[in-house]
Amino acid sequence: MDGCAHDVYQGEMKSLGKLSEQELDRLFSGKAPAENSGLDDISALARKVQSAFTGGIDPAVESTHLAALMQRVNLTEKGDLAAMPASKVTGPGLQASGLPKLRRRFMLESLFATLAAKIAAGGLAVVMAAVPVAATGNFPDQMQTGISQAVEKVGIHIPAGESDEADEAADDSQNALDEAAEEATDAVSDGDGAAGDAEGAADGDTEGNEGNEPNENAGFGQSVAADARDGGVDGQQVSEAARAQAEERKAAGQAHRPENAGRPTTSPTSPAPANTVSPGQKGLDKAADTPAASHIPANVPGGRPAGAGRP
Amino acid sequence: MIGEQFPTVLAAARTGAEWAWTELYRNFAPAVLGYLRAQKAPEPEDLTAEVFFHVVKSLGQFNGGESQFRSWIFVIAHRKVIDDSRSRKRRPVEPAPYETLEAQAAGGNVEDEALEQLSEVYFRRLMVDLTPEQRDVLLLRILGGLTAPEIGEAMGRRTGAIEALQRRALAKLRKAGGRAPV
Repeated sequence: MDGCAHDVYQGEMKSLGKLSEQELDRLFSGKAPAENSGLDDISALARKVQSAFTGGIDPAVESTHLAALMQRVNLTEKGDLAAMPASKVTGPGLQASGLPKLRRRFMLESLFATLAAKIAAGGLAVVMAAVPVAATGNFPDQMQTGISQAVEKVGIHIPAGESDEADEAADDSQNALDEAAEEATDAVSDGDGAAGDAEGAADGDTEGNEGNEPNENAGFGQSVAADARDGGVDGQQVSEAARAQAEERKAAGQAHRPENAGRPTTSPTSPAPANTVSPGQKGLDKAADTPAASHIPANVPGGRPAGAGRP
Repeated sequence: MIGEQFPTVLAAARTGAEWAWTELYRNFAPAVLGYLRAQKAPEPEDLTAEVFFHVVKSLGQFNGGESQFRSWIFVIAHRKVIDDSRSRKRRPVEPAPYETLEAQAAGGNVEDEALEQLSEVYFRRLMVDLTPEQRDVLLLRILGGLTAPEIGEAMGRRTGAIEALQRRALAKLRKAGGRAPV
């Protein structure tokens, strides 16, 4: 029996498979099938289903649905959708003024999202622009150092500001400058001693030339310091060069120094340079060089005779 | 069927004309409600209203004639049935007692209701042998008037698969038709 039923089912499947889409449309719409097609039962079934399920809608339900529908239509024109089941609608509700809450919320969210995106993009752009410039070290020292420290924390190494290296070089050059100035001071002292010497009275400029060297040394030191700040000269090398130069100058000064250089000048014939004070001068000697020399008392205990030391 | 006036009605509905929406509702809502009842939706009237709410919201995206509009509405209804079924599985609702419903029920034509119930019973006995997919195809075909490609789009299946489901469903119905009481 089951096999017979199965055969019938297969036969029906084959006959139904031969139906075209248009014939199926006619059958499902409840229209009469083609003559002798043997599909009257299907057409009748479709009609029964349609009559069973496509009856009219209750007028009360229809009016309720239409009221809710029009409420939706009117509110949708303002963009506000009311979430209310049709069965609970008793009449048109109040319309919300302005934009609906949903849209306002979305606008705020999008605004904040846009701002955040803008801030992030701006920050990224600044970093992307600053890092290559900072990598070349073209920023001012403080800014360069700050950027270097900041990006060092994320694993990017760029050179720091030149302040450290410049300071180091500047220290070296400053030491050199100090030494040079010290040497120059010594040279000035030597020159003064020579100026007071008898044999150097006529050509006081021979030793006095050394008195000009502090200016030259100071200029040298300043140029070295400037080079060190620019980073063009190694401070250590400059320092060593300055030391060597100072040694040479010291050696040269020793060679030209007279034997009595540095001693107090007592000879009245040796004119001291104006406004220069020799290391060996006493108070009366200094007083004798002043315009009030005529008022110096003749007898001063331990003093020199009046007029002594005058030019 | 609205017929040749459909474009005018649709254009008026887009502007929010009440008469146009009434026309659309009276032409399509009975079939939608019947489809939802045939699918055994627990609250077919509410679901019908939701279908039309969706139509109101999405009408701006629709393009086509009356047959396409009918197909579109039934696709919406089919998806509403699926969504409603899923939401009820997540949040089961305890039905009201029969006495409460009987007390609130409005009076009507008893003979018509009896005939309607008989037809529904007949249909349900026919449908008992069908798989859910076969039943969906037949209902969308008979009540919605959708073609096989339109049903395939609504159900996310190929047209060939829909045609095969349709043939099997018809064969089962013809076989069961002899034993179903009419």
